[in-house]
Amino acid sequence: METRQLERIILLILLLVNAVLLGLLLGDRVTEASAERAREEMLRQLLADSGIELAPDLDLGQVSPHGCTVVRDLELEDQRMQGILGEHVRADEGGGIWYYGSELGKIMMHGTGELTILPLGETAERRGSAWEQSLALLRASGLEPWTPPGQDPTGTDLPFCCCWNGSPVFNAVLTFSYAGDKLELVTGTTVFHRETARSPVRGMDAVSILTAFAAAVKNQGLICSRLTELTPGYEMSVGLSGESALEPVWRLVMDTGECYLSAETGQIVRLQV
Amino acid sequence: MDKAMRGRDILRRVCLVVLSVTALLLALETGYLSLTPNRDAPGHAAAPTAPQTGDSAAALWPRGVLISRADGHRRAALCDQAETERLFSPFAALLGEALGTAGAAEALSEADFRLGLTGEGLFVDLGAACPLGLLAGALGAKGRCADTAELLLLLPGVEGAELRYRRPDGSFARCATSTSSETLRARLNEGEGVEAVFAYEDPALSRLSPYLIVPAHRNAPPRIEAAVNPNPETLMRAFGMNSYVASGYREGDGTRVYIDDEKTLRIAADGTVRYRCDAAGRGGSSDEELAAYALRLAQESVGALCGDARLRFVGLRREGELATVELDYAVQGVPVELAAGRAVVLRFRNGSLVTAQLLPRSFRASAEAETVPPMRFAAAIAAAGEGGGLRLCYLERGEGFRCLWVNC
Repeated sequence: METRQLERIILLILLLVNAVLLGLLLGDRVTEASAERAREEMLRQLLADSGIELAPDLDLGQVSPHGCTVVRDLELEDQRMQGILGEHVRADEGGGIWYYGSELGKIMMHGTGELTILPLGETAERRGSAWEQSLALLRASGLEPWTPPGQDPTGTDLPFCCCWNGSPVFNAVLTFSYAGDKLELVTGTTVFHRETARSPVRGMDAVSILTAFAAAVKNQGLICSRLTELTPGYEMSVGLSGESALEPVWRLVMDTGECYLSAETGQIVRLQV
Repeated sequence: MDKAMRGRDILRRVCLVVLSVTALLLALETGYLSLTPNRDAPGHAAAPTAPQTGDSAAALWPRGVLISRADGHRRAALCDQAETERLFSPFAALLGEALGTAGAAEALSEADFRLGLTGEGLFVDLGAACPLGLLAGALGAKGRCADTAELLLLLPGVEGAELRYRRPDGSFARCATSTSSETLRARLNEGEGVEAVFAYEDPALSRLSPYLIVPAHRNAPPRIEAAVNPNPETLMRAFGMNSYVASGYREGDGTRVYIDDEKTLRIAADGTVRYRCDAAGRGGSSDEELAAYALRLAQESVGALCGDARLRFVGLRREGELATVELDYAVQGVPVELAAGRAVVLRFRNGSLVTAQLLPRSFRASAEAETVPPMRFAAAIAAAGEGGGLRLCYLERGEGFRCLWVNC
C-alpha cells in the first residue's frame, strides 16, 4: 500500500516536471522564433535602407559549415579512379603528381588538387546528354557535384563545383569540355579525400553574414539593388602539397554579379584560383 | 479485483518510466541537462583549420619572398613570418610540385637569372643553403632534384613552369618542371602586398648583395625575452633515452649527467646541453635524409621547449665522413643569434648521430615593438660603407636581446 502511494507521488512530481519543462521549451521556441523574425525584419530594413531588396525565397535559416582540414589519401584516390577508369595502372610522376591510366582514359592528379581527365574509348562515347554524362562521371568517381541554380545545362563547357559533406567548395571546379556530345577533356580542381581536423565553431549564419554584407556595401561601395541567392559553402586553399584548408564562405548573388564573404570574418574575399 | 489492481499497478509503473524518459529528454532539449559541451558556444576553443605547416616546412620556410606580376607590380616580405606566410602559402604546393618534377639541371648565366627577375615570377630567398630534395619533402612532395640552392626563382614557361636557382658556390642553374604555368600565372597575378626592389636594381644600393630584397615597408618586430629551459624529460625522450632507466648524477660544476647505455646527456649549469652516442645511432645516408632526421630531432627536443620561437634550418656541411646540421631560432621570422652559438648543432659520422649541442631557450614575444630603423635607411648606410649583405636579427647582448640590422 505504501509503495503504491509513493509511486503516485512520484508520478505526480514527474507530471509536474514534464509540464514545466514542456512549458519552458515551448516558451524558448516562441521567443526564439519571434527573435529570429525580428532579426530578419531588422536585416531586411537595414538592407532596404541601403537600397537592397532581398529575394522573397531567400532562406535566412541557413547555417555555415564547419571549417576543416582535408588531406590527400592515395588509397581513396585510387578507389575514385577505379570508378572512372575501372581496372587501371598508376604511377608516381614525382612532385605529388600521380598518373592513372586504363583503356578508358588517362588521369593526372596533382598535389595541388588539380585534375586532368582525358577520356578514351567508352568513357568518351555518348551516354545521355552532356549534362547527364558529366553527372554520371562525377558520381562514378565518388564526387558530389553542385551547380548554381539556373545554370545552363547545355553548351560545350560545363562547370561543376565539388562538394565536401554536402556543401559546395566554390573554387574546386571541374569543367567538362565536349565536342558535340563527345566528352573530350575534364580539367579543374577537386577536393582531397580525408578530414584530419575540424573547427568546432561554425561560421556566421545567414542573417549575420547579410549584416556584414550590408556593412561591406556601405564601406566598400558595392553597387547592387537586389540579392537573389545566398549559399553557404567552402573556399579551398591548398597549403602544402596534398593538404588543404576548407574555410567556410558564403556566396551571394546580386543583380550586379556575385561575391563571396568569409563566414569567419564577414569580409569580402577573392577565392584562391 | 486483484487482477484490476495489478493492471493499474503495471500501468502506473509504465507511466512512471515513460514520464521519467520524457522528463529526461525535455531536460536535454531545453539544455538544462547537457551531457556534452556546447561546441557551437562562443568562446569554445577553435581547432586550427588552416593547413598546419609541417615541422620541417616551418624550419625551412623562406627568409624572403618576392612576387612579380605581369604588370610589373611586386609584393614582398623579408624576415616577417606573418607576411611571408601570407605571400608564400599559395605557392608552397606549386613549388613542391616544381621541385619534385624538376628535370635535369642546365647551367645558366647570372645575366639570364637576372632576366628572369624582370618578368612575372616567384623569387624565394631561402636564407640558407638548402638541399632541394629536403625542401620538396617539407612542402609535401617527393623530391627529385638532388641539388642545393640558396635562391629560387619559379617562372611561368611556354609549357610547364621553369625553375631557376643559385647554388651556394654562386653558380646558377635552371630546370624544366611539370608545374602548370597557367596556375602559377593566375596566383602570381592576384593579391596585394608591399612593393620592393632588389638591391642590384637601385644604384644607391649597388654595393649590397645583389639579390637582397628591399621592401618599401616592413612591420616592426616585437621585443623578445628568453629563459634557459633545458627540460631533461623532453630532451631524453627526443634522443631515445629512457628517463626511468637512465642513471643520473651531478658533477662538481653543477652539470647534470644522464647515462642510458651508450647514450650520455649532459646539461651544464648554464643550460648548454651536450649529447653523445658511442654506438651507431639513427640518421640517414643522403643529405635529405640526414637533414630531415636532424629537423625532426631538433623539433622534438629544443623545438618543443622554445615558446614563441621557431627553429630554422641554417645549413648542412660535409667534411669527409662527418656531416654537421645546424639550426637556429627565429621569432616571427627574425633570426635570433645567441651569444653562445647555434641553437642546435648535430654531428653525424657515416650517417649516424654521434654528438649534439643544444641551447634550449624558451622565448616570449611581447606586444611592445622593437625600434628598428627602416630597411631602406639601413641599406643605404650599409651600401655607403663596406657593402655586402644586410640582415635583420635579434642579437643576444648582456641580459637581453636587441633587434638590429647587421651588415655582413
